[in-house]
Amino acid sequence: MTVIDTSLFVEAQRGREPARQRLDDLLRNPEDLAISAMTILEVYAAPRMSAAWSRFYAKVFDAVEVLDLDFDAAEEGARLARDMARRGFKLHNADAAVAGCAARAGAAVIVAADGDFTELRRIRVEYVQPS
Amino acid sequence: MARKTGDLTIRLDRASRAKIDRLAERRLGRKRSTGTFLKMLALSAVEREERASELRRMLRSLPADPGAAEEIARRRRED
Repeated sequence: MTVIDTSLFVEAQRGREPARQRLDDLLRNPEDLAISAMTILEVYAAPRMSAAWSRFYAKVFDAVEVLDLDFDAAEEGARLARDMARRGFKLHNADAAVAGCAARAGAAVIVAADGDFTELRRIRVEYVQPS
Repeated sequence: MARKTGDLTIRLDRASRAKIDRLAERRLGRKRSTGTFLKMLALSAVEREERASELRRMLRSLPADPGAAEEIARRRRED
């Protein structure tokens, strides 16, 4: 299972070509994809989303597996954030939630366009350069 | 080349058919005919392909929406 981090959607929505291309490639096999419930919260909280992007997100979220941010995932995310903090890196709460869901679900990889993820341990991260 | 008819018949040897039947029982939790199970697999593959194509077509036609993207990015950096 591949988990798409919110940052990849954000960069694709900004119109950054590498993120768009990677997302396009990943969407060839939606059944192998997952997102964290946190990504749904982050995306839908944006107050000025265009109708076209709203429709796209709704379709994507319907087609992929959604990983719940339950107790175990939150605890796992907190553990990952603590581990990074001890090494002098910051993992924001939203990123920790996504990473926790991914780790808990045994995901093979997180695809992110956010450099903070690259310092994660115990879970493989594919970093997509925004531009 | 022989002209194709609308119907399709496939031949399976006994061992292959038994393997498929075992898989069907594992996946569905009950026995189904080999043909029904194969048809379900094929149709669901077609549906998956159609869903993937639709998503990719939508993505390719989407104009950039940097305002909303920036809003999401900003909020996720607030903590």
